[in-house]
Parts: sequence; C-alpha cells; structure tokens
Amino acid sequence: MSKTTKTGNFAADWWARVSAGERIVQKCNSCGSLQLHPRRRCNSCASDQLDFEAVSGDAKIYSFTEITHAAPSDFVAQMPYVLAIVRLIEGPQILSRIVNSEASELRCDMSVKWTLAPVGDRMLPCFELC
Amino acid sequence: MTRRAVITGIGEAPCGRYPDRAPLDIAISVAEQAISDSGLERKDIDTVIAAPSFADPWFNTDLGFARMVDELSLRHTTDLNCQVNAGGSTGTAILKTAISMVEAGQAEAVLCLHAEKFTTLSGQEGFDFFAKAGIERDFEAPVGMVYNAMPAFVAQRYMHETGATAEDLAEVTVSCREWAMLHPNAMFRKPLTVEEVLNSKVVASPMHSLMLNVLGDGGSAFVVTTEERAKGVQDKPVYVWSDAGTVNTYSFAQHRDLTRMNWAKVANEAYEKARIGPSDVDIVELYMAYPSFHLVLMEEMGFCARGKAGEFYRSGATRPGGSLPVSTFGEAMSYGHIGAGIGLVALVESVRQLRGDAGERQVPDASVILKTSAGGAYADAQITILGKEPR
Repeated sequence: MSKTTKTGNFAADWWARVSAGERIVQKCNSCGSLQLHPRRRCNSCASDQLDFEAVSGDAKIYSFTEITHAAPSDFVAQMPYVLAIVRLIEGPQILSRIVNSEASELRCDMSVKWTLAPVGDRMLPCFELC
Repeated sequence: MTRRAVITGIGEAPCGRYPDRAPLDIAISVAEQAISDSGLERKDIDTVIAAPSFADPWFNTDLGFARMVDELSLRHTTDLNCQVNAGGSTGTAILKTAISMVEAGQAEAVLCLHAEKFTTLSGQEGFDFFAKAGIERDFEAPVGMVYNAMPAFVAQRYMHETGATAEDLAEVTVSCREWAMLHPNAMFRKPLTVEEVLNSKVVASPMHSLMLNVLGDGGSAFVVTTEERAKGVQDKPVYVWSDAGTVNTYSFAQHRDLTRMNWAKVANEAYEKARIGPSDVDIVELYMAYPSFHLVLMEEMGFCARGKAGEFYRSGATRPGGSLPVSTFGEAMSYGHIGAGIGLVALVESVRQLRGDAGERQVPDASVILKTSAGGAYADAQITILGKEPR
C-alpha cells in the first residue's frame, strides 16, 4: 500500500503521483472508506488519517457531456472536449475527461479505463473506452 | 401568545441590461417598494438581511457592512444588518432566518433584499465566473469543468435511464418562456418554439444554447413581520406552511444519483409537515436554472411518474392555462439569471400569486404554492410550501 509523501500538500502529492502514471485514490485508515476527489478529511467518518491506495483503473461512465462552446478562458483552445463523471469499480467517483473517442460513440455506463492524456500542457488522468 | 411570521411586503426591479443603473440603485428601489408594500413605516424595520451580489465584490462587502441601513435612512432604528449567502438557495435561507428571528421575538420586521449587476461582466468573464463559482478548484477546474456541464450531466443520465429526448428539454424551456412573456420584469419575452430551441447550437451536449441562461441585472426584496403587526396595514399576508431541505454535496460531480438527488425525501418531508400532498399544490415555483432539472424534480416531487415529466410538459399542463403551472416568473432561462436572487424573485412571485395580484399570470384561486431552490453547484434541495391562509 502506497503511503503519502510527507509534504503536507495532499493535492500536490496526488497530482504529482497520478501525472507520473499512478492510479490512486485516498483510503481512510480509520474506517476503510475509499474516496476521490482527495480531501483533507475522510468524507465518511471525518478522520484525518488518510493515505493513497492503488486502484485497478477500471471504471464506468456515470454521465458525460461534450463541451463545444463557452469554456473558461484557459480551456477555450481545447474545445471540443468531453467531461465525464467517472465511477471507479472500487466505488469513488471523479470528474474527469474521456479521451480517444468521438463524443457520439459514448454512452452512460460504458466501461472505461484510467489513462494519462494531455490537458493543455499537462499530462493528467483521463479515461478512455476499453 | 405564539408569534406567527408572515411575508407582508414585496418589491422587484425589471431584469435586463441597464448600463446606467447601479446595483445600489436597484437595491434602494426594491427595498423601498417592499417597505411601502408592507404598509409599515420605514422606522418599523429593525433587521436588514442582504443576499450576496457576485459581480461587484465591493458592493457585496458593503451589503454586509450596513450600507443599506445608511442608504435607506434606517440608522439607529435597525438592530441588526447582515448578509446571508447560500448561492441559489439564498432566498430560502434568508426567509428561514427572517421567519425564525420574528417568531423567536428577535426581530419585529425584517427587510430582505437582493440586487445584482451581472451585465458588467463580458460574455467570457461570465463563463469564467461560472467556471469558478461552485467548481472544486484543486481537482475539477484543472480539467476544464464548467457550470453548463452540470445540467448536461443530469440530462444525459436522465435520458439514458428514461428514454427522454432533447425535445423534452426544449418543451420545458418553451413552457417557462410562455410565462415570461406575461411577466413585465422578465428579460426575455419573445415567443420561442421547440424547433428554435433545438436549432440553436449545442453548447454542452445535449444542452442547446437557448436552454441556457443569460446573465442580467435585477433585484427584489420582501418584508417579514408578525401576523399581528401586518393586521390593518397589509390585508394579504402570506404564510409559510412548511420547509424542508437536505445538503447533498459541494462538488456536483460527487452526486451519486443525478436523476434523484434526494428531492423525493425533501418533498415528502415538506408535504408531511404541511399536511398536504402533491395534488394540493396549485403552482410549482421551480427554480433550477436549466430544463433538465425540471424533468427530475417534477417526478421526484410526486407530480409525474418516473420518466413521464417530458410528456407532462408537452401536454401544456405547466403553461399558462394549464392544470399545474410551473415557474410563473419565467425561470432563470427567460427571466434572466441574477445570481443568488432568483430565489427571492420566485418568492416575490409566489406572494403575488397568493394575493391574486399576478395580473396576466394569475393562476385562478391559487392557494398553495410549492417553491424550490438549490444553491452552489446544486449542493442542496430546498422546498418551501406557502399558503394564503395560516396552516
């Protein structure tokens, strides 16, 4: 089980590790709950005893939308892009992107897998169809 | 003797683009209207509660810092000035605060007000504002999350589970426009067809641009006092029969069931506390700012069976002359989006309907109104049931 690095900045830690290719969620050492997005406390029992834990990367699309207009300034150049609420098979749910498919191919409940893809000038966790 | 609070005065400003009208001008205007309409004297107001005003942070700060007490000449007769912010549920939160304070004897007459001037923001600035407000900054903003994605996620999931179509979303949009056409303060009053809505460009699939909101300038106000105090000066006070709410989330993407969001639980609690059922409701003043939520809420609140809301809107039931009017203020899509204050507009409209003062929009014999709100990124579900008699 991976431990958090002790920089105290859990957000920066998570981004650094997932951008390097890890597929991790937060796990509460008090109650065992898994969660995304990462937070300061366990969303279930309020404990601050949180570590990162690896997951399979398997997930389903809970819902999605293709953004074709009215993106915020930093993202105008990236349109069109597909935002999705993705639910990992282990339970946690996260806002992410679907990449490598046409939006017209996508349906709710399709199986996807965690990957890395360019978002602007960063490589971030995204999901693609299996 | 038990104190019972009533809503007793209302005020409202026309919503639209008014470059020469400062937010302070709007605030003074709606406050003066509400005080006058209440039949009370200015000096009878002992508490002022302001909603947030998002476009101008310094005006917003002023609202919490007693600017309105000064501008309305209420110095030395006001016990407390404060600001209450619950995003889109601000109207509900202010009403609950005012009612509680009056019934507990902490206030005699509460002036509740809102003013917003969104048109100072350019289109892109508006998109940028709504890509930050209510969007988780560390983990969601970096992937380009936008506010329009929220109703889009609901629409996609609801369509997936029920077979509903974009046409159903357009029917909701057109129904709300028909009410706005009869509302003198609404921003968009030209006829709109389902075809026009579906021909407008897709912005966040399956949401078309004519299903979305345009930011406007506007405001409204209301006064809460005791039933005793209203006697003789306002012969049509409005009563709160019940309220119920639940807070589900901060981040929209963390909702586990986008086609329900606990609205049934909240509705059942509100009905039980008011001792009524859905069939007793004359008007649903639904404020969710996008048509996809209407389909979900009308079902979850017990007005339509699962998957049947689109058919209900298509039937004309929710339009002027229909069996169950919905959003007679035009909803944010046609009234204009004025931020935290649409909920106050929906309340002001509820009061007019219950008094019989809604003019061309008057629903005959309107006696019981169910009003909804949700704040932030649809963080919560709030229902208030209002009546023209005590319950």
